[in-house]
Amino acid sequence: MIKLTINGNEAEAAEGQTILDVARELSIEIPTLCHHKAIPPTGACRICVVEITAGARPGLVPACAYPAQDGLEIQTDSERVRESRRMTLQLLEARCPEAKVIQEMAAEYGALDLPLERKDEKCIMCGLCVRVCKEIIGPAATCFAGRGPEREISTPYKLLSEVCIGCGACAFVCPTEAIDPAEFCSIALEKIPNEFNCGLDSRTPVYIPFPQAVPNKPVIDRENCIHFRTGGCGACKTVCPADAIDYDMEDKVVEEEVGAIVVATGYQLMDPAVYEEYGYGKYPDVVTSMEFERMVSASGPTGGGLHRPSNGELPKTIVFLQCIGSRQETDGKPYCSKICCMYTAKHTILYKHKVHDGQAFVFYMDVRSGGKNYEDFVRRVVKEKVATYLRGRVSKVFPRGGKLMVRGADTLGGGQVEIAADMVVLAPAVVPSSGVQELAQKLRIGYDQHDFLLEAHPKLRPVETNTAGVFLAGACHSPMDIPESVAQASAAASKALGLVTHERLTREPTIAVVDELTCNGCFECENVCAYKAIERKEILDKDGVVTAVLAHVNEGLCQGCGACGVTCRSKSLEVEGFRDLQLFSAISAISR
Amino acid sequence: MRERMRLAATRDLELLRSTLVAGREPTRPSISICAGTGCRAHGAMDLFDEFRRQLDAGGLDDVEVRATGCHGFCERGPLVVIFPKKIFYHGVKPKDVESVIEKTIRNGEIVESLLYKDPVTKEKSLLEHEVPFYAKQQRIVFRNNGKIDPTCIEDYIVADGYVALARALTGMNPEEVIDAVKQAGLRGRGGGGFPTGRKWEICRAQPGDEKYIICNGDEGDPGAFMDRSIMEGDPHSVLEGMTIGAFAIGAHKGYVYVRSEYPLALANLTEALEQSRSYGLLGRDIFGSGFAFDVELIRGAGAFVCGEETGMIASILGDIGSPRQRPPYPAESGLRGKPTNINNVETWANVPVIIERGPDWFAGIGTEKSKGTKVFSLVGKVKNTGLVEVPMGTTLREIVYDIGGGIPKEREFKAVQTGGPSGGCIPESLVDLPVDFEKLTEAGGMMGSGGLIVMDERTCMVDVAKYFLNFLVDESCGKCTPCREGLFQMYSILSRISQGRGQAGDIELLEQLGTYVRDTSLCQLGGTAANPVLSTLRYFRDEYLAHIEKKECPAGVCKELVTFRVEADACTGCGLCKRVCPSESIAGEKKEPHTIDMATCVKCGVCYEECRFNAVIAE
Repeated sequence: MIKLTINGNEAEAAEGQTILDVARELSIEIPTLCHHKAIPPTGACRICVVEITAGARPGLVPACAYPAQDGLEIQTDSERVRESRRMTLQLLEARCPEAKVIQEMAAEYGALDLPLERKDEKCIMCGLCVRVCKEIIGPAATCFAGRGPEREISTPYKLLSEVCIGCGACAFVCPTEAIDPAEFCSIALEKIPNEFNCGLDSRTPVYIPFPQAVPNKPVIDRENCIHFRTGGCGACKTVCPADAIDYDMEDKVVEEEVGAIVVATGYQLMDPAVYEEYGYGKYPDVVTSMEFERMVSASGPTGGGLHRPSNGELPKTIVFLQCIGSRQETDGKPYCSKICCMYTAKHTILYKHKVHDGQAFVFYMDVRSGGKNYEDFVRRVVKEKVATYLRGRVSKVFPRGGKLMVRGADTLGGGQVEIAADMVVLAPAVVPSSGVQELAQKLRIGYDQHDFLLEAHPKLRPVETNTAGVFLAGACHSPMDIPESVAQASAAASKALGLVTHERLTREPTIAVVDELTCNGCFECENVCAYKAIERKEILDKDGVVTAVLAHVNEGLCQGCGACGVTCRSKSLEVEGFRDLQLFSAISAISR
Repeated sequence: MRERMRLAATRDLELLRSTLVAGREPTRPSISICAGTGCRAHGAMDLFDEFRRQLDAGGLDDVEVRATGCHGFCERGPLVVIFPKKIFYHGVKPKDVESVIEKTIRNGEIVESLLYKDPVTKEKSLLEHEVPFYAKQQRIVFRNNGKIDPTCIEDYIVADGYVALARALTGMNPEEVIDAVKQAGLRGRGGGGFPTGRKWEICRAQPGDEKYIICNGDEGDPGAFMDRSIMEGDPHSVLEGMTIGAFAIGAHKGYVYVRSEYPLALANLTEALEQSRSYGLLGRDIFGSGFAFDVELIRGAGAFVCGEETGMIASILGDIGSPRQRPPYPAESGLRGKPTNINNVETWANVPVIIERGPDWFAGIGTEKSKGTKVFSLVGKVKNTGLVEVPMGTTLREIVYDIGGGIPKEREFKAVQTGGPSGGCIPESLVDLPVDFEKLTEAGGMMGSGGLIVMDERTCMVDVAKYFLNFLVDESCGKCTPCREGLFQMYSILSRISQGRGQAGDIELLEQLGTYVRDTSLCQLGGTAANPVLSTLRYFRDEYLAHIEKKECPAGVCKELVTFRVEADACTGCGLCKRVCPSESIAGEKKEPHTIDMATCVKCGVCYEECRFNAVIAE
């Protein structure tokens, strides 16, 4: 163990640690610019200088690149150190007057406005971009060119790089936002759309899927991760203080035996691009309600700032279009999506919070505000003139003079209206999440023509399915809002608990049984059973050797429908209480 | 070309040497022509051809003509020495060849007109060592320059070459070699002055079998050509020194890093390497000792910063020559992360002599802390420019006046700039300073690799500082902020001072920046780069103040601050100024006082420089 003294306090360091490493462990603040934890140090910017007062040749050394050595005595904030840092900042400020990070540090160190020659550079020549490309990512697409004040960041021979993989790491590490990878590389920078923000911004390949994710831990997106693509990088592993990054981890198939399943697969919005008249996907200022929701969210891509996607300006006029795909018998979904009326009313209020002098319009068919206090909420929006409600459909959205013209019918006011909008927000139909069909088939539960999952009985068993032990919660069943989903989920949970908290299951007595003497194990019954009640039972001899595999009825799942009995060729399956013999006896008794 | 047999043991070298010596008649006349770069520029190779042609034509084909390395007295080239008497002719032209052959070779007479005549005493010198330029010198590193043909290893062997290597390899162990070098007190000649033996010891003590040595031949100082002359004139002494060093350290691979601007050094080293290998002086089992060593030649692209050891290592590996933060020092982790020892050309060339003649002999030369000799390239406003090798401790006065012959045109000596571009200026008041590592550093200069630039009263110290800083701004690699931005700003301040736009506080700002650059830079290029400014500020602050406050350049150099006029009383009307004026701004009839038209004058200062009557006045 290396022993050294920092600011008069004794410290310990491991072999290979730098002064900066030791200082940071002791929470001693040392400013850095050209240093990045994942990249080997270079000691170029000299902002991190500290003063060696004993133990080695006294003087100023860069903390980031100077190894901790036995007996060193170091001052990290002496007058000499501060003066040196101040001069470094004064010089860098003269070179890059616009660089924010330099301005902030310069203010902190009391930099003066010296009569120095000013330049107008963005780059402070820290070299992080060059080093990350060469030493972390691998291709070494960028390099230094020129010497002295002429030194610049370039590519070999100043040609567009052929080895650049467009990862954007150079721009990512740049402390002064001086790098535009497009200057170096013909490959367009691959931005990974942030799924949670509807692709309105991008994310890194290692990311936390969304705020308050459970568990709130990052994942690595293998398709985009440089390490998985090229074998290089590994920066996340280098910087992780918990050493939690394990590139060898694989996806696993987990098998659990459970007593109940609650299906809560939720919903998604249908793609409104199918309705060309609204211009979604064609005009950037036409967005979906979900995108609008992310735009005005404080945790969203703009931090809550509402801007026109086309030019970043404040949208002074906004038009909300309801029923995009909902209640459309011919070319959409015939049902009402139920939640749009309320969230649109909410959106108009949020819009007013962001743009006080803005004008909001809502085109609607009917306002459906069935729910506790819902009608009051909508009334408030209309009364307080938060938004102007126009009853009618929109026929076309088209651009004109930087605006979007919304042409629609105002059936109450009469005639056609045209609104010059800055933004148009569509409320597309609620549809079940994709892939729900496959899941339903696996679980042997029913679904309707729109892929919403079917309950066992619309009035009396609304959260159960026809398969015993499988329950429904939320919008996988039908469009519903949050209170309704919570209510349904609570119901499903109690149903499930009702099943699994008892020591014994009670069941109907009329279930199918197998006559093992005659069953020949053809398993035709398995195919017809709608409830997955047929299991395979191994018959063992006295030595434990399997002699036959026969059908067995899971008593908890069987609903006694009798389909298996009808199918069975050897007549080995009969429903208790409705055995052939019983029925024949009954028939003969009647006919006697 | 003779067949070269591998020298398998020390005895083979002795045999070869006695055979070679026997084959050479010491009394037969031979002609040695300096073929260093300076004399080549003076036409030495034409002279060589002319001698050979006329000798062959005159039936004197047994007279040997040798093209040797640099003799040092470049000012007077081409230099010719006639053996066996060692008669020294200077400024020899092809038209002189005939009389030299007729008189000196055939009849043993002297061609008086080619002898060196002292400009002060008017005395003529017959022999090379009688010439005042050489008389005060002690030639250890340059022991063979001027005597041997650098492309002929046999010449080197006759001059006791490779005896030291044989002794080290077969008679000493590595520790003894290191002890000898330590005892001799040899210090690095590249500028730092770190004790060479100590450096070797550190490298030897590092664990691992793979170690490297490097010869730093990236001499980049403007006006310096000491290492160049050694590599060109005596390449084997460098290779021999490296092999001894490699043996001491335990390295088996060496590199000589030479800038591509030194084509002759590259050619002669390449040739020397081949010859050494053919004699088995490089390669496996040298002299049957079991020790293996070989050397690779690396061509640098001429970046000054590649002379810094970590920058050089990066350059050898093909990277951009940018230094890296030390520690770890190359002795611990250098080339390919292995222990690496780097010494400069002159240091390596000292090693064989130390082994051959013993550390005590070497330690007897020089001062208490600086042993041996140092080669200086003496340039600037001095009569005898060239390479001088003097014992450490020789005073600046001896170098400038006794060897250099003083300042031309009877002007005042003002200062001498030592140590290359990042050295410092030492003023006339310190002219009796004995030159060694410590004394120079104390005075604000430095030994550096040995540049000495003499300046006279017409040198503006602001301009000098600006000149060197301009060089350093260009040559800074640009990696660290102080060197890249600090030097640039210092240069820009100096520029405005020299243009009359200096402001109050500029001197303090220069000092502040200079101290900052010195203390904070990553490598020694930046660490010493502020020296030209700091040392001139130390001794010539008045000149800076004159520029800033009075907007005057006392030396009459800074264009923007100077006007020229002709003092009518002093002007003889010779017309020289009129002839040299590039902008035709000078008018005047013969033998009448001339006048300068300041409207068209470009202030080049040529008239001021050329006027023999000091009639052109700079104000």
